[in-house]
Amino acid sequence: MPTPLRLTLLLAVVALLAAGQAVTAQSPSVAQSPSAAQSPSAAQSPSVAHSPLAAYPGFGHHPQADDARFEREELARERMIERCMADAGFEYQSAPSIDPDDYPDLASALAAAQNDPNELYVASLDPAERERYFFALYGVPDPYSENADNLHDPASPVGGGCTADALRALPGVYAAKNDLREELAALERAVRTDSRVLAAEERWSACMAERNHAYGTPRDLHAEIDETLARAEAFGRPPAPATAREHGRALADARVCDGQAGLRSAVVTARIEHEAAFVDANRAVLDAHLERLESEAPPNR
Amino acid sequence: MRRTRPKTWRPALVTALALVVLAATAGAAYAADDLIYDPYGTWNGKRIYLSPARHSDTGSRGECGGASENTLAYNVAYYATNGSYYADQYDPYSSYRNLRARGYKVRIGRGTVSSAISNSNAWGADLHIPLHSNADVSGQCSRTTASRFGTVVIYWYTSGGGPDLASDLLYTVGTVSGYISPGTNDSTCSNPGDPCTTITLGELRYTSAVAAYMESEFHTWTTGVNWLSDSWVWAWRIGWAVDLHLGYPR
Repeated sequence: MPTPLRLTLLLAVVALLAAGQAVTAQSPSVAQSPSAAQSPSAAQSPSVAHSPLAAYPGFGHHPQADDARFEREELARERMIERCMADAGFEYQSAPSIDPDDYPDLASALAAAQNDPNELYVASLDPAERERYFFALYGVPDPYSENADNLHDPASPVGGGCTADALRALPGVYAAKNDLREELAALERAVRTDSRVLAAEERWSACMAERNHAYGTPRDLHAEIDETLARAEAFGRPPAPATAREHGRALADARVCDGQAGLRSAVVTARIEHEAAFVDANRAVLDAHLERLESEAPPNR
Repeated sequence: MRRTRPKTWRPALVTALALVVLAATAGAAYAADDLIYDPYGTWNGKRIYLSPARHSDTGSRGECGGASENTLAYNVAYYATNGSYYADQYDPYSSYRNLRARGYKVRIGRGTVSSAISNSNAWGADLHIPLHSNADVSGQCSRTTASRFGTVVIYWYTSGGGPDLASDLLYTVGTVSGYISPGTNDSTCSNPGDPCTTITLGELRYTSAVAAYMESEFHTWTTGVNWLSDSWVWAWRIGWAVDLHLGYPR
């Protein structure tokens, strides 16, 4: 039986799921067309929501919808695991991740986390039973092993116990992101080194120099703040008030210069363009991802 | 200046630390639910999975002073995510501070190594950082030769971003100024192949995210355990490394 706290959590999840019914994966027809990014109004005020990549869930363009879908998927996977473990002769209660901020205070969140019924159940098993339990759950007798040779390879089409079975059945909203890691890293590099972004950074730097700040990019400013904090830490006290004031002034000026230099706007414009190229280059994977998500039954039923 | 322990402590910290230790201890033996934290303000679009040690023999791994590697590592994860203290100053929203203040979503793994891998992948983590402390021999806690100890950060040998992330973590936690790890034999290394570990690390091999496995200092000398126990002071440096690696997304 669920503990009262776990029951509360489950009720909260159920409520979330009910609310999330309307927040489904966004279809291409709902998303903005690529041409919207080229319209004059979009060019003046670009948004990554205008990127063609926004049509594909899991890439951060619709974070609330992605999160809501992930929560439903995670709970659905947990229920698959529960059934699978029961078939294997073991008790298992759905154990989705928890958000400590959903609790009134840290103590109650930790109390909820402490009352994991699966933890109590596993602790009650003798060593041989525990190995069988872990083998059923993860496909390995010792899921605490650090050694890859003793763990399941998630790329394998078989094995991995009930957990891997659930992931194979419901790869989830971030599956395509995982499949395209290297391509996404190249996309990020392309945005960062785009000539329009670099030119805007130069304008930003010049704007900052007019205000007596010597930074090449906003990253340089943030990094200097961290460096200052680290140096001050050695003396067991915060940075000198004058330094903190100077950084505060620089941060405020950075926002002004961002607008004057059109830096954020340049980044978004470049991102939309590079994301369009990314979509073109990876359309087969992305369309298959979208098709799979759309074909999946609502995962919480 | 290097390796100077901050002088001031905050009484309220004792309560917070007790709660953190409680949580870590509770989750030490068997699988428990992961914790997912949202940023305080606007999300910067990046997800960080922190995976503290969950050795089944924690407390018997040569840890000095009755410490537990699992608890020390969990506290690092907790304070990297939530820590609000810097030199007795409480400022949870400061841009100087923890991963949440920097705009990241953070998931702290509290289950098994297997569940950390599957949960990190399913969650679409951008970075995956296992948090551990190193060990050599037991029962020699009074050693003081700093050159025998230090921080090692390990990356997967074919990872595109792993070496850079490892270097950033080593820089902020092990080599730059301030309250860094007290050992001086700091390095990054490739896995498998380099001699820093003899096994192939599952959390580097099987995670989709860019990963770097931290052996933050050794827990087999008292100086190292003291520093590890002070993670409320220095764990913000993990957020700093993450920001350096990702280019301060804001």
